[in-house]
Amino acid sequence: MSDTAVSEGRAALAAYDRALAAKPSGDNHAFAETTQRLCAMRHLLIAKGRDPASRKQLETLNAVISSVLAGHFPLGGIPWPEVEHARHTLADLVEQVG
Amino acid sequence: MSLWDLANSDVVVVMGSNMAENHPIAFRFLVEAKRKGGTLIHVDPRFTRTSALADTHAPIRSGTDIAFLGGVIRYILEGDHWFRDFVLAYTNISHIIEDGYEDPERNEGVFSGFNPAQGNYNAATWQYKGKKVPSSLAQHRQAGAEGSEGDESMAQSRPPTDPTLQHPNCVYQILKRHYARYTPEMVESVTGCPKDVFLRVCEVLVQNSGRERTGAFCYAVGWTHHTTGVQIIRAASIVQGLLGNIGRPGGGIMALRGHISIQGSTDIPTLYNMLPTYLAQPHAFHHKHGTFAEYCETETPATGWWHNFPKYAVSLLKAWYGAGSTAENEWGYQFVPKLTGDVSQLPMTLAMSSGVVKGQFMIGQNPIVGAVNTQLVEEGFAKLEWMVVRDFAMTETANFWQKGNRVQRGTVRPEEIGTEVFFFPSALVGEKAGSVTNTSRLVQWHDAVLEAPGDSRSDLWFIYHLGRRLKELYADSDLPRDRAIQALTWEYPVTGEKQEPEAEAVLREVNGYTVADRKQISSYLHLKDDGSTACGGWMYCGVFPEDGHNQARSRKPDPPGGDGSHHGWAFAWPSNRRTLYNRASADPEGKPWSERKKMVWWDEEKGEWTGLDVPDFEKSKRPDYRPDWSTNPHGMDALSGADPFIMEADGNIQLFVPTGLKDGPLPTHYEPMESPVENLLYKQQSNPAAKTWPQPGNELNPPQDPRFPYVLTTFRLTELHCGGVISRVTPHTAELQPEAFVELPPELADELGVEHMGWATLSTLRGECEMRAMVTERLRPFMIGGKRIYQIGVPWVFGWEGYARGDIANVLLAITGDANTTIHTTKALTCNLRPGRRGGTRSGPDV
Repeated sequence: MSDTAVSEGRAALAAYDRALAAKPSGDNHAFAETTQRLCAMRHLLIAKGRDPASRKQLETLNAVISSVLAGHFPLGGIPWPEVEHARHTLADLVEQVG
Repeated sequence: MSLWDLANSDVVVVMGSNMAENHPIAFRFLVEAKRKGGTLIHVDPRFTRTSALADTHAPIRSGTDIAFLGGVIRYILEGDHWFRDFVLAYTNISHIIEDGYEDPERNEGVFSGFNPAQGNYNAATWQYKGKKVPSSLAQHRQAGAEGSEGDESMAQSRPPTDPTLQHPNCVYQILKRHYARYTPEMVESVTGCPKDVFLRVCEVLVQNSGRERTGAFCYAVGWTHHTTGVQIIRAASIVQGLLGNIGRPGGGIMALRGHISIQGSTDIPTLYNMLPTYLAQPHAFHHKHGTFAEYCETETPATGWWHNFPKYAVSLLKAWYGAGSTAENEWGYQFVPKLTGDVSQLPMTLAMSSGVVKGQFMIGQNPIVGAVNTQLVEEGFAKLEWMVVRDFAMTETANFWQKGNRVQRGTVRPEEIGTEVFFFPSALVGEKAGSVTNTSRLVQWHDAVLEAPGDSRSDLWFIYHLGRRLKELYADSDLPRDRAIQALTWEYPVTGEKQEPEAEAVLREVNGYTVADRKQISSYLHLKDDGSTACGGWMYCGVFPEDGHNQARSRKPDPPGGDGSHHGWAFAWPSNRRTLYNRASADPEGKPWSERKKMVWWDEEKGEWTGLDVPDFEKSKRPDYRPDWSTNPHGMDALSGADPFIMEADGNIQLFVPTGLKDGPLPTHYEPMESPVENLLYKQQSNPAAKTWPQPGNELNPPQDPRFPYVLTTFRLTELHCGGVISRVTPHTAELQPEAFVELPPELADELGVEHMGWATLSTLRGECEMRAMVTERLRPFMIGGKRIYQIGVPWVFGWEGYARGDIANVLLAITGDANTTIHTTKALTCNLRPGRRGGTRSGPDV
């Protein structure tokens, strides 16, 4: 299961990088795909159970999803620093889950 | 203004509304205005019952309201028809704007500060010269980047002005340049309204301006449901500002609010971006929203009434968290969820289809009928794990998985949708107590008059018991994130076998009370920022001023010959005030502009403001008070005794808006996102700051696409209430409008071979739907830029449930958002039309 979550996470990172490459423009398709992949990863993490480690991973992943949504649906300008920061957090998370 | 004050108007323009059909009770005050000699004008693409009762019907193509109103502004300015004494004293017409400001005149349709990569504006060049002006409305802030920071300059001096109006960057000169091209000929060419009809409207408006006469505008979602919706209303506010029609009897801009407490849902909001009564929602990414002290510092303007912000914010947190709200824990500020982005309905729908949302409650909503791009909404719903629907009869939302548009069209099979739907029966209005707030900010109470049958429960019952159970679930949690729900005050008395919460207890809490002895507070003037008062919504303070006195329940109209304010009828926030900014009904010296149009005036003997309404001003502030700028005055001290518009930082009507709008300081005509014609006024085709989210299933019809040559608008029907279900399941109302239809002009019907009452199919890139053809001369072809353009219209209130059925029109619509509010576009798009029926199957109760 972790393998699957990791592969969704890696796919999310690839889409994420496409969104970042479009900076300063917002790439709707890249953001949408990132979100879809992250939600698939979340689904798999939830299925892992509710042990403290998984819960912490879930909380981190939810924070990343919030940041991606902020980039996709911003209030005013896209908050690039937070979106970029979340990308690093996701990379760490994928490594940790793997 | 109050609804009944419309009877005092000398002219009323209904625009963006079919008021006679959709607000029939309110419309009687227009009938009364006419009876008293007033003139009624209806500006609308369709000739409706409102038009039939008007003196003039001015037809315009959907989505061209700013071109029309811009033409009116030009007519007023070029003809020098503006109410000079009012405008010079009470508006920012003489204010000087920053040197760097550039108008769309010189920028091919965009203002200075536009960032094309991100599609948004930086408002730095729109400011008063040398000042930073805070926005008066939290909703319009670009949260995450903006607040009142840096606006101390407003407390140091008045903004620079040129009373001679000669300075090239004073607002008057900017207005004249900006609207110069909105000539009557251009108005005709863009809107399709014949020049002579347009000029007749202008003449009537300016004839009813000045000391002795006033006029009003009435609008509904025909103005708001555009990507330029806020700017359309802004255009009307410029017209009314120039004509002196704000804060005076019979003058104003009447927002005809929805029937189901829609005003209340923004006051005590279901909106995501505001705390109750228009306080800013904290933002996670705002660099100065991290603590309550920083939040208050950022959100409190230096000048004007909003300087009281901390009193309202602390009192709100005390009402929510009670003993869990202390100075030591920042009054519970960290319990409040922080925004990261736009989570209004449209982005939420899109995010839902990406799998973000696990479950959703549908209370008082039927989005499968009422939300745009219905098939995309269904796709999102199909990704939910669970959905709770509360309604009094089966709705299309509750059984979308079984009979939905995507099922009918073969896109998906019911067994492929995993969403678990919980359908709860709900009580009807007469079966529950509560308040409704709608047009005129009027809060009206209603009692339960009979018991809801069976398992039906009120929404209040559902929310209260859900909250109670959640508090029980989290009672023993030691996680920081659960502290908010643990701290939440949730003590409401319940009665009867069903344990129904006492609705008045909620209203008492919203009104506010003193914390020490739990005594009701009679006015927001008594709220404090030291934790001694609690208040769920400062503007509602006074609705329940003492125990046993629910002013919203009061039903005492003025007797014949009364002053017409009807202060004994319910409660209008704030302070039971019927007309906002009514200080403007008196001249700068405090005398009524005329005996005929008097409302509030200065009583020199008593040393206070008095009159026929509750004065919207500091009671004892003299008209000749002037701020002492050497003391850096803050709050109301920085506003003079002749600055009526106290919610603005400088107390003036903002003809030009330095801060607070995301798509420009002045209304500018852009074509709708979907249009069959090019923008004749600017190179910029559509609102560059509008929100669009192109993705599969949400494509926009390109401008001037020959596949979609017709302008489409949607509307409601007087016979079918709101989303329709409530009256579609009732035989008596269903038979009055038995099935969905499309209105089209005879000329188009002839061209296409569509027969009256025959079938016709409409299509966009989002989908198709079929309807009966209503061939009618109520719609006329327009000549736009020398090209014949057909306008058609469809009611959106049908679905597959009930006796009156038909395809859901919102299948045709795209998800786009107004730049300021993210509200969807339902009033101006393009489509195709052909005779015959669409493919696929149809759903109904018997399927």
